Amino acid sequence: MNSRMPKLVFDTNIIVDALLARGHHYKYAVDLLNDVASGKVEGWYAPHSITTVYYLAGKTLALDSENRAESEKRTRELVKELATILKPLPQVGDEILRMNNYCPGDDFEDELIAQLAEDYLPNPLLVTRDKWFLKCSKIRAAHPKEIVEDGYQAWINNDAVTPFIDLATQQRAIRPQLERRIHTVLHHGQYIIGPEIKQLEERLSGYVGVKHCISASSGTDTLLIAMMALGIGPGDEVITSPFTFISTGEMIALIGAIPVFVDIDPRTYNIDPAKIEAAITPKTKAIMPVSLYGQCADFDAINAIADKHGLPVIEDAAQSFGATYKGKKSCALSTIGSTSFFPSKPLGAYGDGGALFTNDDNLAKLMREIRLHGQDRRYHHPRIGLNGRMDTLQAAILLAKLDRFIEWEVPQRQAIGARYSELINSALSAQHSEQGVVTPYIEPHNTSVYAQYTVQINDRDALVKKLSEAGIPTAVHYPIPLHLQPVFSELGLKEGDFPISEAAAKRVMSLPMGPDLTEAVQQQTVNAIRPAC
Amino acid sequence: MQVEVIIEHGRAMLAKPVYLKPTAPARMVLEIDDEYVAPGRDWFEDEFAELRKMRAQITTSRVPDAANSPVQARFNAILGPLAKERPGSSIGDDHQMLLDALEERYLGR
Repeated sequence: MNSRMPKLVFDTNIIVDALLARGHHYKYAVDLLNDVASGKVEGWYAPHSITTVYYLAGKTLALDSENRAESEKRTRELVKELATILKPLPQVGDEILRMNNYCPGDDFEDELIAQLAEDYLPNPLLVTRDKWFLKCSKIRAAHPKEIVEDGYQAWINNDAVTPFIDLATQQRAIRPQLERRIHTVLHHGQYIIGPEIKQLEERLSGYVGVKHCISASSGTDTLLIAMMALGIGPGDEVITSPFTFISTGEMIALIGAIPVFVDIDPRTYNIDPAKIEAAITPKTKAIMPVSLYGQCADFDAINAIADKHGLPVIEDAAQSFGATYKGKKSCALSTIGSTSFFPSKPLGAYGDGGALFTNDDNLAKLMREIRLHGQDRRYHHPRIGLNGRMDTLQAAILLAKLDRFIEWEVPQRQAIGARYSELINSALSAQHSEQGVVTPYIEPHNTSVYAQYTVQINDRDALVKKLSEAGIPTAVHYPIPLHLQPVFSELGLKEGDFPISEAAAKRVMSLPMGPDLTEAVQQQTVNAIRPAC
Repeated sequence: MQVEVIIEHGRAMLAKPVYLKPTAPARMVLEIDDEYVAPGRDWFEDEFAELRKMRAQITTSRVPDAANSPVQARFNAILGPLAKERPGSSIGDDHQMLLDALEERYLGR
């Protein structure tokens, strides 16, 4: 499903037809509901109309039944069943203020249905047998027979833009849970360290399989908090990858320590464990591997080196939450796991957020205190900390997202990543091999959550341009390795110091990715790649 | 002469009594400006016009076919003995039924 597909909004009459098998065309309405239930198309109802459905269905069943209590019970069950198939359109309450000049003199209830659909859905299609909608509505309307016979393709919005990450579809899929969670926070009003923070931390620690989870304000602050808890400070060295987002090296520098870069494995883009030991000095205080693009680094090898030298390991798992390494979850693989809930991350909030994970009771206590201005009890501060708490609202949003993430999105991401590789590799025959398209390599012992689906190609600029012309967005993660960033010029590093990272930075590009990415968009993307190869 | 009428539920009622001679016709033509006439609402109007005539005779009791239709199976399970195909209902019929249901619910009839 994507923004191009029509979003079906079921009018009252069609809902009652389907529920009660009314009229010659009820099967078309039921067919559409089957498609909604199977996830083929989105289906919605207007909450203010549900009482009309209840009265119409109830009256009809009462006339057919000798037992009013029984028909009443069945009516309520039917309406509840409907609400498990269709989703309610959000209704804030001020929609009527915006209904001016919509369709003067017509049905107020219908007008509100159309207003909600227009306010909330991209490409709404009202499913109705009320012709007034055709005359009046600003949104499109069709009879269910027409939709079934013509197919959804007839109602596709070809002007819709393919998003790089489709957060809108995900949001619509869980909108009722989001609304309920947000309303709960607005109701209790505990915006800082509200009850949702503890709920989230308990759920996340259980999911990851570690003793402690400490939620935080971002996946950047979590790196800082982790290093502060480990006592890392000015003059210390922290080993990390040069091929990553700036925050990894940035936090090392911010704390006054020195980032010591170690080049990457050319297949996984993660730090190459074989090169770590040579970078260890007496000043080394930690190893901070990054699990890039959603795939964990080689933690058995990294932990073995760390153990040998008595060093803690911090997994920068900003992109890998939900991934596994030899059956264990990312964030459960080292001394401390640090992840990000930036909106575009596999598990993303609607703002910044992050979390730390550890099995070490003392580190957990320290990190909790550092997160809260170094406070161990109210207004008592034994250490310097920061304002690093996660907002209660962000925790509420993550709780609303968590079930879908665990049950559906993680496996879906794996399937979509694998399908991309299949489509690309089968589309690009040997004659195209000189173009050097390289699909992601996932270690056999790993599962990836494909935070990005990143390929390598020789002429990146040409392909970026070609895809852009085809309406397909791309991104480069990351065009400049950290050792060549101006901010790290004082380290005295130069081009050629980390050749594998430098080569990757010149060739990588990421394609649209997300759990709601359709096969059609993937195919369209691959088709656009093919002629360039 | 012109008379004022009030239109309610499709019936025109004189606003003030007018005493008609016995010879006055029983049917008169009420002219309504086109701008006040809304178009029909039903997608398949003929179907419902026909249905209204036939409603009394329709006594279908066929259970909706749930083969390859999980949603229909769910509805049938909930409805139990009340799961059956029913005659269609026009938009106007639905509104009338809604009024009936509300009246029954809140006026106790």
